[in-house]
Amino acid sequence: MRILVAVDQHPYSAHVVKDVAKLAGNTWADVTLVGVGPKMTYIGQPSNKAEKKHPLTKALRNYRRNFLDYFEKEESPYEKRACNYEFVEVKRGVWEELYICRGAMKDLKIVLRSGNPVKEILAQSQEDDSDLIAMGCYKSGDCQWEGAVNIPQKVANNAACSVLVIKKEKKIRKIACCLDQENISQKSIEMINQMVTLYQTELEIVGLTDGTALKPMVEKNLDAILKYYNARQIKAWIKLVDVASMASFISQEARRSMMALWMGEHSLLSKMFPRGKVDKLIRGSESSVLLLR
Amino acid sequence: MLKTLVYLNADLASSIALRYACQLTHVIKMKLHTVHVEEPDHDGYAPGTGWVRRTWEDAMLKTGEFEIAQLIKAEKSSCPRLGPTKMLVGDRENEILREIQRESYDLFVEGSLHSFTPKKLYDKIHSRLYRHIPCPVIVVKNLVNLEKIALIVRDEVEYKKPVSMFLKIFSGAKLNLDLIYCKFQEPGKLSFKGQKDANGILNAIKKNLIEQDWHPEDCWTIQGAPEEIGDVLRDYGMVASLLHHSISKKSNWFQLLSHIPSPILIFWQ
Amino acid sequence: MGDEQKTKILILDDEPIVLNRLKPALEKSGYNVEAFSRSLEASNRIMEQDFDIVITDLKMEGLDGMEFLTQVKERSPLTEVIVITGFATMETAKESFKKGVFDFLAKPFKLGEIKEVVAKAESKIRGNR
Repeated sequence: MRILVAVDQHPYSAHVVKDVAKLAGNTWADVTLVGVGPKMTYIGQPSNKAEKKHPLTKALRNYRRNFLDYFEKEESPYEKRACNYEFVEVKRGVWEELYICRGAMKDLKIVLRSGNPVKEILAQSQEDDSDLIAMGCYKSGDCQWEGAVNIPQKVANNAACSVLVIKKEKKIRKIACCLDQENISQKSIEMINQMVTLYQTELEIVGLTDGTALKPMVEKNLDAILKYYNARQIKAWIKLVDVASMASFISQEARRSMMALWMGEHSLLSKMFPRGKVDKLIRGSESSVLLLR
Repeated sequence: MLKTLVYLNADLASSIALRYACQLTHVIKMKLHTVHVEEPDHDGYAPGTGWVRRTWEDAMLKTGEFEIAQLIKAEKSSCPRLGPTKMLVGDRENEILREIQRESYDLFVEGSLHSFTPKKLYDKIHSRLYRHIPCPVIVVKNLVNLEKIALIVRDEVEYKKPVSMFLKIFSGAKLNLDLIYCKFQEPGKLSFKGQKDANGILNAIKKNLIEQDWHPEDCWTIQGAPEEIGDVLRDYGMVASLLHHSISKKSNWFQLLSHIPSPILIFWQ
Repeated sequence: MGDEQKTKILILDDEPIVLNRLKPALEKSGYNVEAFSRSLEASNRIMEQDFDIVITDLKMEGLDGMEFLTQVKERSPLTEVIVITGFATMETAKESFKKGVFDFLAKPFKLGEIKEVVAKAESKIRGNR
């Protein structure tokens, strides 16, 4: 798994780094911490002084230190391993004992980009081929991000991978999973599984109805998901929600549960949740929001 | 031994109800019987009489039989000793009611998935079937483990009735029981009181149960909004309550029952 | 390359969708792959035959993947084990490494990622031979 953590200098970013460190501790994911600042032509020039001047570089280094502090050194997959002599096949059938210094088992890199934050975060996630973008946001109100408004919403709307907007909050009791049951991707289920494990929480699978009954295909998929979680001893609840009540369900549920919405290309939810509503959900939710793709 | 009737349809709610009912047989001495009603079209149209009618009914039953057989087959691992399903044709509610009266069932179980809007449960409680049903009903909203059950009470009930109904079903059962007194208040002020502060009705029910050799594990009071209490009660494998058919949609008690995601056992008042 | 010279890989995962994705992809890369969704069958197979690489899930219906991993390592210590898991925890990661796994990949992963890990394990195996 590859996680891109987009950070700025607000306190919620420190919280995101902490949560992602826990997730990375579980999953041993490859992680990139990316900060986006205004044009920074002086970075990388011979004089390191100029680089140090930019506050984001300092913040990024702090975040890296905090991230690594989560792990015990000898057990961390991000620590560089000792150098040893090893036989290496240098050409077919020929082996040479070389002094090898192996890198860490998993990647942890910090990247500083300059320009438009949304574009740069999305560009970095594309370059890394990330499975998940994690970023923070204030608990309520506009997500001020490096002085700009609604950056997490814009990233969430435009990313090709799943996006987790983390809010500093009390313990999550439940992940309410509004899956588009006609089009569930294995990847989205796997992402939910990791979240359930990370937050040690129950799962609520929300089935959308047209007010009368579930569509047979939706029902079949709900049954399959339920059996999948029961077999793995994970407590999963089913809740039916009428399409007409979806908005009020989400506004109520977002107060105490992490909301997970499947927003794939053919998703009914993506039709029900046009960009403006996703903005509203992220802005208005007191809990974290996971947009699955 | 309790005679229990489980209503089956070829759907998820029924498959959950069946799995749950099978779990129940491990803790309560009961024999499960299953029934399915094949309903004519919604407009009530049933062609002809005599042979024409019988042929039409047979064809309908065959389709239904196949679907139910598939459902039973899928659940066979959790319910190995399940007998054949009784297949009936006609109005679902009338036929179930007739079947319950004919065979004197002690308990009726059916699946109805937990819903965000209370309307579904409200309609069910006010249906003809529930208004006339002579036995308690378990509405299975979700599939949960039956380790611990709760008997919830409030002030305005005569406590001996739920106790005697409870004992009729659970006598000899190997289950942990909590007695919970629910008090409603505005949201955001959820609070709990333990055994020491238990009120009169809670103590009376406890005493009554102990006299019948049923020892509740815990007795406590919960104060909060219906949705908050409902959320707390999700930890139970079943929540039993006394209920009156005429309960209003806006009443706190009904709101609470609709917010509980676990199966609910209804004793009719 | 003859089948006997190919690197032999066993995959155990109770989710057919994972097997269906992984098996053909690794076969296409030139490996000799056997896939199992039932632990008992996989356990029997490792008793009959040593594999170069074993890829196993940890949390499966009715089976503790950690037990399978132990069996593999006891039977054939040189087999490199790659753990793929949908419900990863710090404890399972640590325990896996204590038991000597080669790598630990959390789901979702891309085929490219697992191919890369398999190639690294293969190169280690060749280095040890």
